Amino acid sequence: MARLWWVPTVARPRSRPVAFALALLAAAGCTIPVREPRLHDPSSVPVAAKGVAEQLKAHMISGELIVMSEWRLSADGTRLTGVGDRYDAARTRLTEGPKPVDIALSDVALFETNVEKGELSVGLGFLGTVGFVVSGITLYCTASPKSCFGSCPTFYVVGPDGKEPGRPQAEGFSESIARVLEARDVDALLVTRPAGSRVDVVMRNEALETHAVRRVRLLAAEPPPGGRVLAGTDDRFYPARALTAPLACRAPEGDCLEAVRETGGSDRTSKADPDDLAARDTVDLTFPAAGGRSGIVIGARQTLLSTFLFYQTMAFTGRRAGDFLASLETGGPAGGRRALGMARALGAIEVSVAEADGDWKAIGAFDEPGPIAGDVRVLPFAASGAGPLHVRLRLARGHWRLDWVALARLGAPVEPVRLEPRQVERDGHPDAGARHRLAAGHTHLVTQPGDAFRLSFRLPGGHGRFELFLESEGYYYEWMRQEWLAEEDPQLAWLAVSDPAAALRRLAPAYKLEEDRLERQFWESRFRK
Amino acid sequence: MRTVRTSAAGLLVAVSCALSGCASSGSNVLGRNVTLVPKAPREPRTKGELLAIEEGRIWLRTKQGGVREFEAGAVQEVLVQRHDLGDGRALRIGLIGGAVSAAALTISCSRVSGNGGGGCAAVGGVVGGLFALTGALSSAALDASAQAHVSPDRLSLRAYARFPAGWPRDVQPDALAGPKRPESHHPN
Repeated sequence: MARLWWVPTVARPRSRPVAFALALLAAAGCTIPVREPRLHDPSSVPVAAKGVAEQLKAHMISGELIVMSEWRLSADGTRLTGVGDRYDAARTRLTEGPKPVDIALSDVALFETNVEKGELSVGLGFLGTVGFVVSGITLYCTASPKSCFGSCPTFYVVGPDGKEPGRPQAEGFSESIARVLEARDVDALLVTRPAGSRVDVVMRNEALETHAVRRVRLLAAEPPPGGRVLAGTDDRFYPARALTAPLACRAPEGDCLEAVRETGGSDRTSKADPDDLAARDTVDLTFPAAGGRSGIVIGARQTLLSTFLFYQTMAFTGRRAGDFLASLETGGPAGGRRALGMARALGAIEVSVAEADGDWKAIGAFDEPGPIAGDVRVLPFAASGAGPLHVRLRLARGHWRLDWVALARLGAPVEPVRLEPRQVERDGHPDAGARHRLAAGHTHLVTQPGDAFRLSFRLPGGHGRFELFLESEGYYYEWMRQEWLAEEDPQLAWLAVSDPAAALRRLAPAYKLEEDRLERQFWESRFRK
Repeated sequence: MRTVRTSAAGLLVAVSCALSGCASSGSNVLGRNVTLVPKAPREPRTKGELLAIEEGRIWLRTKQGGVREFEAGAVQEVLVQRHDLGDGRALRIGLIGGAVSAAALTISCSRVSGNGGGGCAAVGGVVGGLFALTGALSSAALDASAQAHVSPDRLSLRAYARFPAGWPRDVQPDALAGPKRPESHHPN
């Protein structure tokens, strides 16, 4: 993949002085040490001098050679004493390490000193500069392939050990692929953080994208005793008690209880349909009876199916990708959403409940986009108390990784405290401008691949236990890739926008060829070590 | 992945090494490497360690270990090695560095979802090719500066010999023949 162009945005020239400095550094170091010998008659013993005569070679009449690091002429001027190594005519070392030497000048044929000078070399400078830059790029790209070759900002909460975790806990505004689709995103942060009131979050741009981040805030809510606070699919926050695991879970592939009864561990996944990527699965779960204000908790993230489809759409637009994105901007939010038609057709995890032998009732959908960091949401509903409670999830095959499903008793919605970053650091230095942008939300903080900002938040007073959420707002532009141009197909691009369902059938065979490889490669490459 | 990173790290070290003076050499007890360019156009050039120059004769110890004697009058010029970044070394650095860069970038690129193999190979090829091309161009300059052109008649040529004062009385040329290389050979 090569960076062909990217959608016009303000690219900071920050990296240019660094590159220039590196090049200068490389070029400055490109002198070749060259030593020039000087011969001296035995009657004029050279005096030791730094850089000129740091060593004295005594070429003996016998053919031996004595290399001296210290030397002194005797008072009568006939002998030379000092410390050195002795070699025979075949230049086999006769002493082990420097030994005291005492030689008669009459036995010396010639003395030799060497002048060392650094010779500036354009050739070495050229090779050194290019080599240094290429090596640096290679190192950087192998250490973080996504930064070089790869959606949306990733967020890492600094742990008790002061280090970032291997995987991000949140990804921001994944569907905001153009300015017109700028959106606010809230992700639950299921993290272990250091004791105390300070929370540090590192925001990274790890993909071939330009991010425009309007705002990042930390949302903190005090959970009820023994319970949690969960973000609802209605954008409200609910205190949740009595989180209950399912009694049974059945999916087309069989029993799925182990995969979904607890968060973390393995996920329930399935393979995409080979003929229609929009083909649905149903997962049926059973819970004990619930009464009153209740909620179905779902923790899940998308597979790479939606990413594949977005990249394919970009590829089909080919050289007209710029026009495509421009048309999104001028078409307003409705036009922008049309570009996400295939993702819309894949759909969310639709949730229905049935109490005892009652009818199925839809209670909402879990629709957190993005394959990187999962999210947890609760779908509230009013339960009658008749049991057991049946829950049916309907989801596109191969589109979701289902991590956790639970039943919760919900309280009245609460309002979390919204915290702005108190400090923002970039490369270890405070960046007041970035902090102002992220806090005020009037303008965007534009980031480029490889950029990282450390955001420090201060939790409010209280008993110290908070459920944390990350709120991010902004949009991003995907950079065009060289190999996508080879797949330019205006008809398919039009089909993806005009008839997403048909496009999902058309693209099914192509995705099935890539399905296993995509997942493996993505998780191998996405995260920095 | 680790292999790729190791290779890339090795590449950086190699380049840094070249920058920081891998071309430099420590104390040396041998004569310089030289190339004798004969006056006769069809005669081959001869490379070896310059042993001695005396009475219109030049002695070389060839890479095969033999000691050969040449008539100075038959020699057009003597190419004296000044540093060891010549002799195509820059080209080799460029080719090896380019190959490692190309492989590492292609592999790391292809590990990212959505990237095609052809495109990744192209990126790796372009970057690696740039390195190799730089090596080739630099090689021309470095090879030229790596050798001093000295007339066989110049007295200064003696300074580069193992025995700058001429053959030692008690040492026969044959005594220095053989495969043994007593010390590492550097240009000074």
